[in-house]
Amino acid sequence: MPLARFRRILLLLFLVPGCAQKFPVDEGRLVIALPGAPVSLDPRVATDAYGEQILQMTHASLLRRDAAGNPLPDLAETWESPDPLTHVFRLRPGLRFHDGRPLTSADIRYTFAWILDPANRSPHRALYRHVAAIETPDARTVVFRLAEPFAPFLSTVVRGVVPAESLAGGHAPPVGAGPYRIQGVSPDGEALLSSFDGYYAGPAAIRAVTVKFVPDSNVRFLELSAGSVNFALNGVDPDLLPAAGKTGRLVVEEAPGGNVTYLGFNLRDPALADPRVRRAIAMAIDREAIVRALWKGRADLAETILPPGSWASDDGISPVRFDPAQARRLLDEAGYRDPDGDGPLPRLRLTYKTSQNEQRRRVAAAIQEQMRQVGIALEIQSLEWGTFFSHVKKGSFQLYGLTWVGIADPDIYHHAFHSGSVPPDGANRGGYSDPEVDRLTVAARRETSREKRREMYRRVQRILARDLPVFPLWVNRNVLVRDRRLSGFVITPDESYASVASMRIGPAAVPPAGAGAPR
Amino acid sequence: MRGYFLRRALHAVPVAFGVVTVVFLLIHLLPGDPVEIMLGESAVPAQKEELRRELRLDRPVLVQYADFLYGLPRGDLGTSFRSREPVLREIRRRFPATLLLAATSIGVAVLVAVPLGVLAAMRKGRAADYLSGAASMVSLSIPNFCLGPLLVLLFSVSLPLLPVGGYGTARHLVLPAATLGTGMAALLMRMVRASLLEELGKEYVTAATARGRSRRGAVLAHALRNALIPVVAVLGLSFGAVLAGSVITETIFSWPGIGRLLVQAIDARDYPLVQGCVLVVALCTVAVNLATDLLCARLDPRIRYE
Amino acid sequence: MSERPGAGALALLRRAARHRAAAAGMAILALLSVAALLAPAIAPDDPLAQSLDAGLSPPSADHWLGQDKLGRDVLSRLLHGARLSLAVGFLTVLISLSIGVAAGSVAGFLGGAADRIFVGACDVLMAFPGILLAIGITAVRGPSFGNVLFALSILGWVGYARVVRAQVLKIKSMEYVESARAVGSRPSRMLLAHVLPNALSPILVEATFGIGRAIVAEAGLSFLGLGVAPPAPSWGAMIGEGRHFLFVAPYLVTAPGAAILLTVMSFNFVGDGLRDALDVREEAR
Repeated sequence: MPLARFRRILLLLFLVPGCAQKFPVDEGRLVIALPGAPVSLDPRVATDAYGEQILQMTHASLLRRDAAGNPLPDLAETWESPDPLTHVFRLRPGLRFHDGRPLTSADIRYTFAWILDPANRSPHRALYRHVAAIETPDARTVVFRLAEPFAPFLSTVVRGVVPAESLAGGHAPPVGAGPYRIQGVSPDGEALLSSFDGYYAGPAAIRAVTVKFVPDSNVRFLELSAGSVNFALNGVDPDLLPAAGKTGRLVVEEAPGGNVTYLGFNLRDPALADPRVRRAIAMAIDREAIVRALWKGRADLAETILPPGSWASDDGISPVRFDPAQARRLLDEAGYRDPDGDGPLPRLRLTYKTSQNEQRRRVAAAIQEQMRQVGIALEIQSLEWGTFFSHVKKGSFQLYGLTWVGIADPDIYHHAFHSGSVPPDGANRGGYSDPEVDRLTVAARRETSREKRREMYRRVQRILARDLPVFPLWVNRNVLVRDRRLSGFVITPDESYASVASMRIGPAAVPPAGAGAPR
Repeated sequence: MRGYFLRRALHAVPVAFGVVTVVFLLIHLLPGDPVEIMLGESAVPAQKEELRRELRLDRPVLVQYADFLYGLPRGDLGTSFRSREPVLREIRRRFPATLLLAATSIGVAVLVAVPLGVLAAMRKGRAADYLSGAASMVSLSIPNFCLGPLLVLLFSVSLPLLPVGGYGTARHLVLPAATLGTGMAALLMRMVRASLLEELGKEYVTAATARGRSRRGAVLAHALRNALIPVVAVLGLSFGAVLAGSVITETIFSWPGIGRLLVQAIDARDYPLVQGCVLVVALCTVAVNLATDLLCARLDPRIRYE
Repeated sequence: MSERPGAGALALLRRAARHRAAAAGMAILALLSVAALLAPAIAPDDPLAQSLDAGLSPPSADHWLGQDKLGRDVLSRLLHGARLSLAVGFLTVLISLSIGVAAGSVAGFLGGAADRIFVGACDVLMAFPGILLAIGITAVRGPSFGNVLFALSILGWVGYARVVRAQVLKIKSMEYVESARAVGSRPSRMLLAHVLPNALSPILVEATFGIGRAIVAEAGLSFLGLGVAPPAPSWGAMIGEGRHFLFVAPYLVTAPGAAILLTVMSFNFVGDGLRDALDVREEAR
């Protein structure tokens, strides 16, 4: 195409005077584009995805997780559970924080005790409710004593450790012991990380990392094309992926995803308290059309909030089918008749809260129109991420759309659907309450046999599929766009950034003429 | 001169007061409880009370107003609800970026408009005049949220010459400055042309022209200088328009200035920050208008005696 | 102003060109108004109807201006957007005019403290540059048609009020009015008989430009997400959504952009023409 050639010539002309423009990748710098700024960089408090992703690079925890969710050693090199109420961790020798301080069991104890202290109002407190005591018999041993058996315990200790006496709430985030240390953060610009020489596994190969907060998807794409950003995980709109592949410098990688996007209902709302209304809303949404149009098919429908392939998933749940006629019938049954037949008056008015992310707003717009087809007038309120998230956590909404990131254990069902797990302690933001679900989720925490737990969680899923306190929508496949010289990043279903530490920059090579090699 | 200065300054004070009052009243236009809107309807009552106390909304309106006024000279514009930082600090951090953009836009506009305006005046009635007239009409009419994406389409997408947004190098400044400056350039061009034509029609010019070509250059330069005085006035008054236009332009180009801060504050329902941004921009406009008045009075003594 | 030979002819040429431009502007506006009025009838599709699988389709026989990301017909949205823009423009000016005439008359007639308050209020409102105050108001009240009208009218009335007030002051000082007052004529009669007819021309010119300004302001607010609420087809909102797809579907921006440009230019040309025509009449007296 002549235009493309003209473009290339013009680009060359423009580049020649500027000579070899230095890209960050040439200088050995990894530049990551995050779609939003983190709300908090304190692992004791952070719950938002962007914060957690940076923390995965800067803070080490007792244990890590592999792609399947199984525990791996991190700060702790061995661990054991002599009885169901006791967990003993042995730390590696010679651990240090970024500021040089040695990391000992006292720091572990401090971190968790801080979270457990009600005065600190940590949102993670509920997760460790069963911890009765934390003992430190010596500098390299930590013993957790539980009040009752808690099966998911090992997954909960994947939490960044901070030094004892770290201040909270200040502008400087607490140091960690992870592969990268934070050199500086500008609140709405970027975070600068540099590799930590004292990291127990050796310093990371890439010495300098910049994490840029770029909310505008066009700017993200253009920065990638221009080379000022060389890494974006789930950061490029599906429509632009082909263009990214054509630059010749970028590579597009796809991997299965594990984070379920869902529609949340507020069951305290008089209209949404009726399960028929919730089911009507669910049946009015054409999920497949949205996946095809907005995600270009790079997503799979979900019927449960567990990541696909989870050992506790119930594969026998029949999917909610797209049936607007049935939706209308259900609304009629529930008493929300259409006041004027086919006319513009709605049966019901609801508000839907979402973040500023453009894709999410398009999803909202698609859902809004599908709601209109069944007679529900949906008002979309699009809020800045931090504000939106805080409204959701407080239960201030009728409908909202969000994604569960990093579910490691089906105990999430207790955290999200037990009637006692209402904010600020839990994630039951909609106020769902079912005595059977309560009973099962509590029992499953205590149960150590995986088989028995699986059966309990399957029953929970079936009840939730009947009641629809949330409507699981889809699971996006994870798509990474990176400079072709970067290697070593492992895309995990939960979008973890932990493997940044094992990335390296390959030698510069002349890009082949023509399109890049997307996989 | 001092009398004029005092009179203008005295006039600006109640206007500033009025501006402060209007901005203060903004938050009371909210359709509902500000605290509920910021925290969300089902927030814990204790948190609502805390925020209400922090925003001083629990006191009678007059007391709030007094507090607001009292805080201004001390630089206390409240605390950003989202970041918990003082509003003034957030604004100060972003101000330089907007200032850079505004100064560049105005500079570019002047550099483009003055020569073109002079050209149009000198070549009045001929092709150059009509062409520039048409171009300025289009430039005047095109809003910046149309022009911005259009420029991006031309110079970032079709011809990958300039970045589509962001901040950092001189190349990042080009498109935003062009977007902001175009409308102003068109206005200025027309003004320069009209003003110069008026000057050129005056007796001293025609007399000098009749007397011979040798004087013409100096007289024309003199005419130009006189013609530029009203242009300075327009420039100064345009500063406010530039600040207002920066809201949209900074959003289009992800330029980290006050305009974008305002939009981010709105998205976050961070009303103290919204108020702070509007107040700072409006007060800056008042200040610049005052300065423009004084500058014009200095340049053109006739104004002082009006 | 002294004139050079030939300047008269040039001035006439200019006026003729202006008239032609104004005429063209009027024609375009007439077309636009008809399109806007008939939009529900002539638009090929429902502007809200989505066709998700056809997102970002380029212009075709079925969709002359293509389809946006959600598969909505751009042409239909453009036509309904014209409806919205003209409605906002005319209504804003109508409301501003009413407020302005009332305020200006009262200030002019009563004088004294009322007049000072009036001048003060005008100065304060004018101190907020551009749409800053409108942004502040809609940010606080939320996106809706009514809030947009409210925000834009609050700023718009000042121009008309000033014109009316100037006329009132001028009339007040005229002799025959003083004698009329002595006889006992009511101010409202004076208003109707003398002030309004004289103020009509400048008000008309101001109103013409005002509609253009209101349309741009509404588009700007919608672009920022503060105008009418989605999914309403506002031209500004179309540009705001479409600019994310400049790489693959530039027509999503160029179509509404051209519409805004054409509309505003037409109003400007007509306003220029009116100003010229009415000024000529002043001179002739």
